[in-house]
Amino acid sequence: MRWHTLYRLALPYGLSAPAVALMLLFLIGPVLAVTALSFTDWQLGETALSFVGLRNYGSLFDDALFLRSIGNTALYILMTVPTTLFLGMFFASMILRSGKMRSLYQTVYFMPFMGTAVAMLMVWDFVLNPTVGLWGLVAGWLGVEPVNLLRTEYLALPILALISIWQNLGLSIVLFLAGLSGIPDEMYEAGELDGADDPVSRFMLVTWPLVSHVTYFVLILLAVHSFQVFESVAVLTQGGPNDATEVLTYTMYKEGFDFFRTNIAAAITVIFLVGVGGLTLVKAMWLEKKVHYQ
Amino acid sequence: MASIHMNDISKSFGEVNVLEGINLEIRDGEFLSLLGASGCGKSTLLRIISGLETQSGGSLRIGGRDVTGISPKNRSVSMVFQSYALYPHLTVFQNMAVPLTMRLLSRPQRLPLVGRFIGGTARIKTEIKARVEALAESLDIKHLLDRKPAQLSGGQRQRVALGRAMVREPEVFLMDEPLSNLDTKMRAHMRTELAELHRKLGTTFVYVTHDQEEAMTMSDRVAVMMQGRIMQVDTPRNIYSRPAHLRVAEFIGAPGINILPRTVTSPGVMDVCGVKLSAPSFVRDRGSIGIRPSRLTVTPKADDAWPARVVNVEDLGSSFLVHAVLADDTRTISRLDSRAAIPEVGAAIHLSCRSDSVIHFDADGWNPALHEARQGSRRLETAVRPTREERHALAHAL
Repeated sequence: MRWHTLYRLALPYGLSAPAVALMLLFLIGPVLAVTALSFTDWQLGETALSFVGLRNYGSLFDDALFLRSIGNTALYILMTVPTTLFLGMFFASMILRSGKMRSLYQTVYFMPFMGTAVAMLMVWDFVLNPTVGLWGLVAGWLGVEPVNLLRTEYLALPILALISIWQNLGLSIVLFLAGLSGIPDEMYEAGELDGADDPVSRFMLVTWPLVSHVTYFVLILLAVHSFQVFESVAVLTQGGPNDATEVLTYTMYKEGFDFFRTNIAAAITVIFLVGVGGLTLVKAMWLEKKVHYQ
Repeated sequence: MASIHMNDISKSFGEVNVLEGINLEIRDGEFLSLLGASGCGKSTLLRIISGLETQSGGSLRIGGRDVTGISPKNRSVSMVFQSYALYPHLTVFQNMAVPLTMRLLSRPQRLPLVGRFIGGTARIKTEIKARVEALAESLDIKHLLDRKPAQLSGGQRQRVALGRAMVREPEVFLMDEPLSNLDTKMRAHMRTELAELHRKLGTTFVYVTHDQEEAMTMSDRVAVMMQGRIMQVDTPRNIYSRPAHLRVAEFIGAPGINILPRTVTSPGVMDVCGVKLSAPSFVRDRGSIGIRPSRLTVTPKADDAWPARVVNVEDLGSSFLVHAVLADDTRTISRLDSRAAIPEVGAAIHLSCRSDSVIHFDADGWNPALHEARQGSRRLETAVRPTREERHALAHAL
């Protein structure tokens, strides 16, 4: 009898042990290690390290490049997230009404999201090339100077944002398609009888409130996604021109793997994690007060 | 207050004809039910009246006004949906106020935050508040005004949906199976409440249902629909006792009517399952007769009684259902009063009925008694007056 009780108590822990062990090893462990490293002066290859407190963080916030990097990341999020969100909602409602062509459109728009980012960015590099690329050709037709877009300071980040929108639009569309097709027709019909029979009133009374849970979800997802922007910077601009596309993950990568200042990279990582964690927390709180369905 | 005139309404979705030749006049202040099995076109007809659907042919007038091409919100009709279709993100108060805010406030006035600064907004909002609260009071849902639909029970949601439909005082109420999502007890309760509401408001009600009990208990008149056509429009009593077609007779009443084949052997005499009965003059050739279970009673042996064997007896409390088999294997059901002598399973009995309880149907299923009576009458609301060819075609289709 005692054995049986013991077994019953131990069983849930035993069953969850493998998952917990893996999580400790690959998720929580590294995060703790990075956090610990960010309070030391350890650099890659060194054999000794000492505790330096918050010095790494202090030096980061004195560093103009890091501040610029944070600013660029924020600007990038502001440019990509709302655009992808509203375009996604717009195209989703268009595709929903497109009948037979629906699955074709869905596939076409989703393709950029499925493809390998680096491979597609190489194609973009070629497309945007002012001499041999499509951009050079189009500029010639339009009679404008074929500037190197990725080497122009005020254009580089917006161009990266455009590429991101192109890449993530499919995801946004697919999620909104699910949300929009979940709205019962009767809601629109009730609205029509109640007087909401033009597109604006219909949107305000029915569509917008009833996809709000999808909107929150897409918003946070895209924000986290944009926060993590790395490939396009690494492939297309390497942070240039003149640090105009220096973003948080790229700074982190440079500090860690170009300059081998692991302690600084760790500090950036912690700041980055706090940012992503904050967004996730907001998402969790928003989803808590989820929209009511009947 | 409005009557509804439908003249030769038809509706098809692509190749499929959902409604054909619908002629129906719904009187001002009447409670009319559209009754039929699912897929008979009753909901489509209701949606055509509401304007959510446009008829493919024919004309529709509400309150004397041709409403073809007029948008739902300008038709002065309100609809209660089967799922209630309450806005889940709005409170009960806001739900009920929507039809008023959409009509009384201009679009800029409806804007959040800035709307209140536009002249007149506050006054209109006060008026809306007063109207919604007064209505909520009368519907006994005033204590629910701050709740969201998800926090309400089925019956409460039903009441809110009614409130939303009533708040702008429409001339016609349309209801699409509004009680089918409620449990049995609540349904019976809401049935009474709806009938009372109709009496109180005196507005025209058009009520779609597949539940004959709902249709029979609440309606002034019932329109029985089958396969996109109206088979019969009449009072519940007449639908039950004088069905126009065999299919109507079979559809109405539980347990179902007994249908026995008959042949007229000589003028005034018909053979029904081996028993000779007198036949009225309008009955010819082959056909069938219908006898309601409560009219088919157990009697002593007689010339006009069918010998039968009892195969099952069901005790319903107030009555018994006796299932029997006649000599030619036709099955019958009789409803006997619980105080009568109840035969046992396997017993040999005799069944008979009074000749005035017999409903006659011709070979196409139509009731010749009704057809004779209506010859020459030009009443519009008796929608079924098909020609001989139409009757054949329809009987074939059915």
